[in-house]
Amino acid sequence: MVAAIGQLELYAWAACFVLQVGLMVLLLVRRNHLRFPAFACYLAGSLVQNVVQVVLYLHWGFNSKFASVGAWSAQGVVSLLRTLAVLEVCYRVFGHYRGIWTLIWRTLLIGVMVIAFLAMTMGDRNLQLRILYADRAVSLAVAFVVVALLLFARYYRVQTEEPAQSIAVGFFLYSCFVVLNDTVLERLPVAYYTIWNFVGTVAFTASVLVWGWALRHRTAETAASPEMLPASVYKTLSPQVNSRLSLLNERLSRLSGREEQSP
Amino acid sequence: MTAFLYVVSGVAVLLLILLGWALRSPSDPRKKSGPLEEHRRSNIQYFPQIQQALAAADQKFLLEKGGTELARSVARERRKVALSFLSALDEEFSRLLRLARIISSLSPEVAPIQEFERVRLTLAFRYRLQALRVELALGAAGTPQLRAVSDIVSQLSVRMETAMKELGERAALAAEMASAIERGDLA
Repeated sequence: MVAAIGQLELYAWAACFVLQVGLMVLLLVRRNHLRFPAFACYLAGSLVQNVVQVVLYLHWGFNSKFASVGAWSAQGVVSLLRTLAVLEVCYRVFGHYRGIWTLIWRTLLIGVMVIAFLAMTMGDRNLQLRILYADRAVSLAVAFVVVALLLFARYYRVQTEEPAQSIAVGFFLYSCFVVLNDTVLERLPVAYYTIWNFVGTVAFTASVLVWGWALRHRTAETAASPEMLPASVYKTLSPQVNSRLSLLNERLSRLSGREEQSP
Repeated sequence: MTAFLYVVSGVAVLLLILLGWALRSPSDPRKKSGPLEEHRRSNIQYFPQIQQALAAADQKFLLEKGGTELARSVARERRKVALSFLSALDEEFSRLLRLARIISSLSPEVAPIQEFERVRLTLAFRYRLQALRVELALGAAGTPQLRAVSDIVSQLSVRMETAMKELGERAALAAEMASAIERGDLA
């Protein structure tokens, strides 16, 4: 069984590597790396990680501590590149809207810090699993950022154009899966270890396919930045809307017998 | 031991649901509440008719002169009218909120407290309006409640209209730009 999974894992890894190479070529041929440089770096980093891991494990073996540390270090670098690629997508969507972009990145930063803290501290205190926690924390934060990004876009009616949206969805699917995969591994280290890597590779392959589909064409030129309104318009209108809304809620509370403290 | 796994799985499912919801194609807001630059008369003007339709005296008169069947039928129809009136108030409110959100997106600076406060108030407003609709549908809400709601929306409309007039060209520019954004001319 273990041998069969090992064989299957090897095939899955090879297929994923070939697809990544194909995606990288597609990215360069369509010149989309100029529009998404951080995403291109992430993809290149992921390819290098694959090669590094093969060299480490072939040379030092699967039971070597050095190989294990080296492989996880490479994973750390790739996770960092993944975070940068997601931030790039956020900026692509909201970069033109200075005011709400400032609000959004601050909100995301606070959210990511809280999530990373919770993901790192919840669970067992086993120090050997800390690196797994870090991987899970980054993945959970990425999934949160993607969802928050799309919710903000919907709320402010900012269009998330392709391929940015599909890149974000690809990151979400993979990150969400890593969170679940790592958590199951943490709980069932012996039983799950044999299939953990295989399942992770399959999930990543699915994301590569999503990205490949999204990036099959050359990205259109970015729309011109919308002209900003004078700051005084917001300063005048926004508080008035809020005070009226507050009053309405207060009255509605009275109607339904639930008093609310106005801020 | 598996509780944490359930929590993580729950979070993942929740995120997935939110993602699905965020990716849904948004309905065209102009279909619901019309173009922003259009200055329509407030729905509040119909309040006297709604008030009359829900008046207890009318109900009593119908019951005495027309019988139970007729009174019930008329009450049912009048409740429908009142519910439509609430929908119209909702539309009016949505229109103002839409303007506020688009102004935020086109402003070089926004105040986080005001933005989050608006989100909270909007959620509360929607919840309470739905509760009022249910009450009305069940026959529990009457004219005083409706009058209170319409008074508040009326105040909001008047204040916004005044603010827009005071701002003059800037407000007109904001409305025009907002509409252009929604038509896809700019974004």
